[in-house]
Amino acid sequence: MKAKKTEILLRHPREATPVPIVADAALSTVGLHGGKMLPVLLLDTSNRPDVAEFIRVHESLGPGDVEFQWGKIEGHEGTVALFLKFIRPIELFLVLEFDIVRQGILVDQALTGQGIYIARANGAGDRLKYDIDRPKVIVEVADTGFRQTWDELLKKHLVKHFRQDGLGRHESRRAARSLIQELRKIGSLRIRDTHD
Amino acid sequence: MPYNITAFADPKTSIAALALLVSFFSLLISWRSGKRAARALSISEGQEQRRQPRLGIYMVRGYRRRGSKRQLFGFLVSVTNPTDTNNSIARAELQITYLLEDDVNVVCRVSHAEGLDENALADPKGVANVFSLPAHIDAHQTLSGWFLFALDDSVIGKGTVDSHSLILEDTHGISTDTGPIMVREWSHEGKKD
Repeated sequence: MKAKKTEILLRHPREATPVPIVADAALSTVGLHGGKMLPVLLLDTSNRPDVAEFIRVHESLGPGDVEFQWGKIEGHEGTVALFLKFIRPIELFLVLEFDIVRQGILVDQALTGQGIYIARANGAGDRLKYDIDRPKVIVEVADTGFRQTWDELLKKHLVKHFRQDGLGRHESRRAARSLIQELRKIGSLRIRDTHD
Repeated sequence: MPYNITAFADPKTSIAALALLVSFFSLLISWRSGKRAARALSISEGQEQRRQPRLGIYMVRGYRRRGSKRQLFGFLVSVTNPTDTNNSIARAELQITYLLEDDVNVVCRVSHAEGLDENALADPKGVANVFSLPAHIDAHQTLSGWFLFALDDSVIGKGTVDSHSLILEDTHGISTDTGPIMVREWSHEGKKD
């Protein structure tokens, strides 16, 4: 898939800054999204009160509509971004940015599970386990053909990372391939519905 | 000694004059054709524009009533289809813009709830025509009825409501909105008569 540059109209300058991901986890719920394991992103909403508000009221207003686009922010190397434009129940635009090497598992899991959870972090050291029942919004991220581009990006950056760590070219490739296989083995787990 | 002759005009000059006349007529005809073509284009553009789907909204009345844990909104509107294309109202939403404590704008959308049992909000006599969506609307026709919305108090919380507007989306995904509308507190006006 050939990448193309595009411009996005924002309502406020703060929308251009990616919302920081404080912590992450993975969650699989019986009867929800086919029991697929989805990444949970705890977001630092201190500079985005509208995102905090969105997560707060989402439970009252029910499901809505979202448009999304995988891409890359100009000048940000080694990352991919997910641009989310919520239309209803609340109009909101937010950008989530992922470091390919460090947070690639989140992107990979979002593509495998075709969704992500977003939730609000309570401070810098917060973890999902501290309050697992906090309000969460599930965002469906269907396959739009980004998977092929992602596979190439992930492999390329992992190989580069292993090379920087001192591995040879051949070994780096093998290590990257092996790591991706293991990630996907874990990521494909799902909790199926039980029928008595 | 006088020498009379009959001088004939140079045939090249008369042919040139004739050609000029013919070209003048051609110019006249092509100017008229151009004018007619422009009119025909204008008419077909007008027809094409009339074929483009769009809805018009006329807001007759808008009311709000506070419940114990929620607010109910009722809007009596006329929806017109001024185009040559049959259409449908696929979705009706109340857009509420409210401000958080730090003046952050939040825009939320609430869907039309035709099954609201508090129809008394719309019509004290209980004969209100509440829109049932999707609502078919033929070309050059008008529909009139109520759109009802319920909003839990917990949604806006401590926020301050800035504006309300009604958004209708048609079959083609084209949205029409009323712009900011005034919402009056509902009172049982029928009893005053």
